[in-house]
Amino acid sequence: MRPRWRKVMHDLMDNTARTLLVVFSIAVGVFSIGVIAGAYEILQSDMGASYASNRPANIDLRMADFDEDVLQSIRNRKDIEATEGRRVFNVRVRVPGSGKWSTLDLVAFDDFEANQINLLLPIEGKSAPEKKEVILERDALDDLHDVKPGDPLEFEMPDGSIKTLPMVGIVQDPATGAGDFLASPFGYITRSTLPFFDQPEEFNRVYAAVTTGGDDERHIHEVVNDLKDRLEKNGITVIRTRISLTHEHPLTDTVNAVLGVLLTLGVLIVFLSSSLIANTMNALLNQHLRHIGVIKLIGGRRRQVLVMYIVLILGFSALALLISVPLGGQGAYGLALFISDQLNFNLLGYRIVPLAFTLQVAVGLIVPLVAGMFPVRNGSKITILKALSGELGRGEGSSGRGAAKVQLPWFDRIQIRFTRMLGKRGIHIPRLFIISMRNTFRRKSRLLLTLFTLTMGGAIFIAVFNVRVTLHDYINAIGHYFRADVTLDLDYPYRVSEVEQYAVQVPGVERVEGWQFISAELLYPDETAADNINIFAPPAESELISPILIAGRWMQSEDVRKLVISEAVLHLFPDLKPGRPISMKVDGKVEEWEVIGIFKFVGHEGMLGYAPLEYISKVNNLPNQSMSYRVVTEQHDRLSQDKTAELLDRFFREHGFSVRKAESGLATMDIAVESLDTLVVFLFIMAVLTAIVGSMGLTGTMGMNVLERTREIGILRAIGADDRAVMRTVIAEGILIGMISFGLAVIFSVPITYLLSRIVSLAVFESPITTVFTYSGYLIWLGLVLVLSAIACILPARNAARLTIREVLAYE
Amino acid sequence: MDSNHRPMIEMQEVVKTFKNAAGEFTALRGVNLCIEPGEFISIVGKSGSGKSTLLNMITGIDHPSKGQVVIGGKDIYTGVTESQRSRWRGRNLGIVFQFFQLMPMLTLVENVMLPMDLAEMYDFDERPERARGLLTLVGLEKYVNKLPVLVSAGQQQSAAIARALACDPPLLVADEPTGNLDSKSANSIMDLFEEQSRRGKTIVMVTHDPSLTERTSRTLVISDGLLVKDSRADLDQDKGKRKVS
Amino acid sequence: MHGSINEDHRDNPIIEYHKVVKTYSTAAGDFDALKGIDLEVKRGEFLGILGKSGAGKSTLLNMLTGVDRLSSGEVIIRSNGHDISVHNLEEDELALWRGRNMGVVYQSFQLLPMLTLVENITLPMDLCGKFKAKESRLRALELLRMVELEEHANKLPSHISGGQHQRAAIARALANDPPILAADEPTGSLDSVTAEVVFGFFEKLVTEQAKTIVMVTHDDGLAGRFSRHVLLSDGEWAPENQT
Repeated sequence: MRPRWRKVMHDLMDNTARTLLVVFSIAVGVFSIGVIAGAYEILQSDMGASYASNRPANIDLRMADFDEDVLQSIRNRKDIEATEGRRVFNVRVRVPGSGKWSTLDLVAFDDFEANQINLLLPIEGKSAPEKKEVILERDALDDLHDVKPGDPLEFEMPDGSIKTLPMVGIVQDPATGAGDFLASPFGYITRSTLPFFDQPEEFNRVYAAVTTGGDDERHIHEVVNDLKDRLEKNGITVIRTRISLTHEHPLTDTVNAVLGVLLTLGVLIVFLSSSLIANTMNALLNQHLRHIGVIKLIGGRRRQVLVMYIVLILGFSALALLISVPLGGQGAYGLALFISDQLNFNLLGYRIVPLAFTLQVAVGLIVPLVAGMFPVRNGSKITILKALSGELGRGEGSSGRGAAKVQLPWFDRIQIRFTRMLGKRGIHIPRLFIISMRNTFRRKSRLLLTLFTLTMGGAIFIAVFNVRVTLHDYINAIGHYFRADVTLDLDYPYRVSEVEQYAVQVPGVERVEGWQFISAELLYPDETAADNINIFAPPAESELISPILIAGRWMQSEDVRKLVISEAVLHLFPDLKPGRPISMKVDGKVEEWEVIGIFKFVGHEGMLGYAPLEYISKVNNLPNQSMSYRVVTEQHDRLSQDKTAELLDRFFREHGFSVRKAESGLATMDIAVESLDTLVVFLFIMAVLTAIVGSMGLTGTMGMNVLERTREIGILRAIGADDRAVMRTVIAEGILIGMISFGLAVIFSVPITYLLSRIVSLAVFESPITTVFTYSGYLIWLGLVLVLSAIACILPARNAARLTIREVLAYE
Repeated sequence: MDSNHRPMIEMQEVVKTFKNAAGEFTALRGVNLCIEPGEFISIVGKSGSGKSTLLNMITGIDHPSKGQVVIGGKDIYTGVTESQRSRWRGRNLGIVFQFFQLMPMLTLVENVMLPMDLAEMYDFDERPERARGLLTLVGLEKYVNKLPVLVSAGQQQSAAIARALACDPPLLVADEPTGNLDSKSANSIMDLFEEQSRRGKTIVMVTHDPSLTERTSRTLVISDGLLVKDSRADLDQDKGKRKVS
Repeated sequence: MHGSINEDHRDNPIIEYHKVVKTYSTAAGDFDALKGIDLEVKRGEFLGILGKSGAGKSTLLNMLTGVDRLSSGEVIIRSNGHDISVHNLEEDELALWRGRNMGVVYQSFQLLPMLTLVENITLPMDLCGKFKAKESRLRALELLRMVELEEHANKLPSHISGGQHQRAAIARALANDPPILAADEPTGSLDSVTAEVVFGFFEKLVTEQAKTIVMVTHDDGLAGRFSRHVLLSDGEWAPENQT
């Protein structure tokens, strides 16, 4: 090998700590880009593909009970490829012996072997139950711990008695209920098992796939509307319809938005890592000035020097890519796997994503080159005299006759003037601290780059905490929709006064409110169905709900055909405003209602509305009756809520009520906001990554600073500084940098918080939410930055203290 | 022994061997030396003769491979850590280097205060006054608040001498203090040393310029790691004899 | 003692200084390190420049190597048939020219610590492209044999002694077979025995290879061993100087 390349090779390997620092700085950025881009690509293709592979129903009709003939008539319709009728009902289940009941949606299949839609994927045990056997969707295991195929499960019958069935298998059902966070987990039985649960052997669900155009929303809508019309003409009520596209997972938009947030942070990390690289290259070039001088002395030209150092940078890049590309690929798949697992779909297997790979290589090569170009260009310009006099002169008076004529930078002048001013007033700063202080500002570009990384790391860290609180604050606001301590749902309407009478007998219950509910269809101006809307009907004066209104007013008891709509409705009708009319099919009749207000809710919960009980009870023709009750208890904590729910459930069953479920308000809310925690965890991981990059920057800087000041440390030693004094000087400098960056991070965290919380809330709630700040992020970062900067200095400081003076000052 | 008459520096059989990949190199091959308080010593020798190594043995900057160095009655190597030696040095001797070695980020007066801070000598509020006084002594009263880069080499060296005097040590050690100065500046630096010698400081100076030896009270010549000539050898011997008798 | 390199330039001095002035701006005012130096060096001369530290010797040499820029005057070098005014060359031209025409040796050796001796010596050939890669290595080994370091060819500089360092540095200075060598206190950090060996090599280069050597030293004892010596004092020729 030619000697100049030998030198480059050597420079690459010779200082392990420095090489690691550069390589790791590059690798962090390449890794995060790789993870996010890879996960994005994998999810993008697999989410749809795996969803499609389970043959999701394009049409999901929730209907009143119907029989084989009706199903057959649907099957015979053109455009329908496959249709399955199923019966879905709610049942409570528990592991024998354990006290805790959980709710299960049991799905009765006509024929497991002939299953064509919403395919079940076997996981463990049987994937098709026999008569009087049950299999579970894997999500059900979250509530039913340690149940294995073959174990018995206890089911509660409507009359309160308990029956036992064996659980024979676990399956995954990625299609049914995909994207519906509020859905209960599923269990599956054969139709022949229905009588066992006192259920009629009839269907109440239709799952159908269209022959063509499974990804054409318009087309599916037409088919559904046509279907509904015909069914309703035959006197069969369709309670709710849902359509989905074959190749698009219902949560695609949410996942993409979340990945978008992560991508933003990933790009930021690349930025931070590039400033780290620039810093380290700068220091490396400083250490190499003498070598550059020698090379020029013996005939090397600037271009040759430039090329040598560019090759060196490429070498660092190659090493970083070697680490970060495989790791990034793994990380991408890991992230995709985690998300897919959370959202219950499957990936198509590990693979290298070409786009992510290309992106990683490009980032890994280009970013270091750009970051390193400036120091390398400057370094290659050094004159031989300067380069060699660094050693020949061994000091400031390198020309041998005292300093060259220098003009002090304004910043240094101010620093000195400031200490002098204090001195004149009798305030003297210990000189060791002056050294730390002035050293801090000595290499200004390095300081700026270090501050940039550490500040951004800190600002993002703080912002993530703020966003977390913002989300939780919003969740709390959402909680105002669930103010009742317990929701008691019954299967049939009962007289409100009767329910009240019983409820107050349950210990802890204060009062009860009966709500009603109506399902309607939102219509486009041409009277085709746009979507379903669920309208809740609490008493107008109810205190158990306090909505987040963004426009208009809340309902009043005298409102007739007026409703408050959720923001989600605006996605269908962007021009809706309070006072505008909206067409709905209510109870089979097309009516015009008036929008009186718009409220905010979790975006993916679909179309919701509120109208006063006073009016809806007339529409339902159920005066003074109700199926759904809101209960207020004396205590409002989760534990007593759960306990009262349990007591209510038992008490009402014992007295012959047909109870669907009794659930505490906080539990309902928990389910609604579960997905947010995952997001916060991701944000937190990114925050930690940026913090790591920031503190790496500080460690690197302190290492370089100490290295460049070995001579000065030697002087300190020579004039009487012991180990402690040397270490104190170095650590004080690190902490000073840490504190400055903290101050800046506090400032920068504000815009970053706003930006991040806007992006996140748009992703999750599909609408911006009010940003909230918390001191906890600031405090934690303050503590962290102090600890980090102390740690970042300890190693360099200890090395500094260990240097013997002879090494530093003497050459003979 | 009467402590008033104990020597300032006593070196016994001091050997220093450097090891590197190329093998061993013995820089000092058994040096014996006794310097009395108040002497102004010049150590001369060619480059490579071991004179700087010898000086490093006195300042505690390096440590001997063999032998003993006692300064002001204290064995500075046996059972003393590097850190403790630094502290001792700060309080007991002042060093002047060929390349001045002022802290570049501190003004001259701050540079002079620094050893007092490190040694925790003099009251905190007294230090600025004392530093100013020392700078006046070396003729730098106009430059107290200047950074080292803003003054000439000669002035830097004067400031370095003021710094060496900060804690009022009995012993000053200088390594080629005029080696990087033009002849005029070199002269004024020598004047400063002479003045300190008159005030009773013990001064040990290494130089390769034989012309400077005329201004010192005693000259030691070192060659290839051994003291080969001592201008006071006869005198010392006489003294020794007198002491014995 | 005079070899013949270039017959037609035989009588012209190889190096000429014309009224070379070098002024440094310092805090204490302008300082003239060189006060209008005239100097001629003949082909094959072994010129010693003597003087105390601070006299301006190194500055004088830096004007020859082009490592430092002069304030006024001119330095002309006649080598390989061309008259070159050193200070009219651009930086890169100068580097290439110096690499091919002038070997420089410093007191502090300046070998690259990460390269073996043979690589250190191959480097100037690599950079200047005067010899092919294979040829370069053979030539480097040849030069190492000349300075009696062939058995250390594959050692790193840290594994050899100071004297060996300087011999390797001399070998490196000869890599591109330059007619001129400039040496700044080459024996300054060596003990007397080693210094003698190193000085011996310089003498041999003049007598056996007809190189022109300009050496700066503060060691008066060496004065008699140059073919000619000049004394510099405070940036001027000393009065006792016969030149």
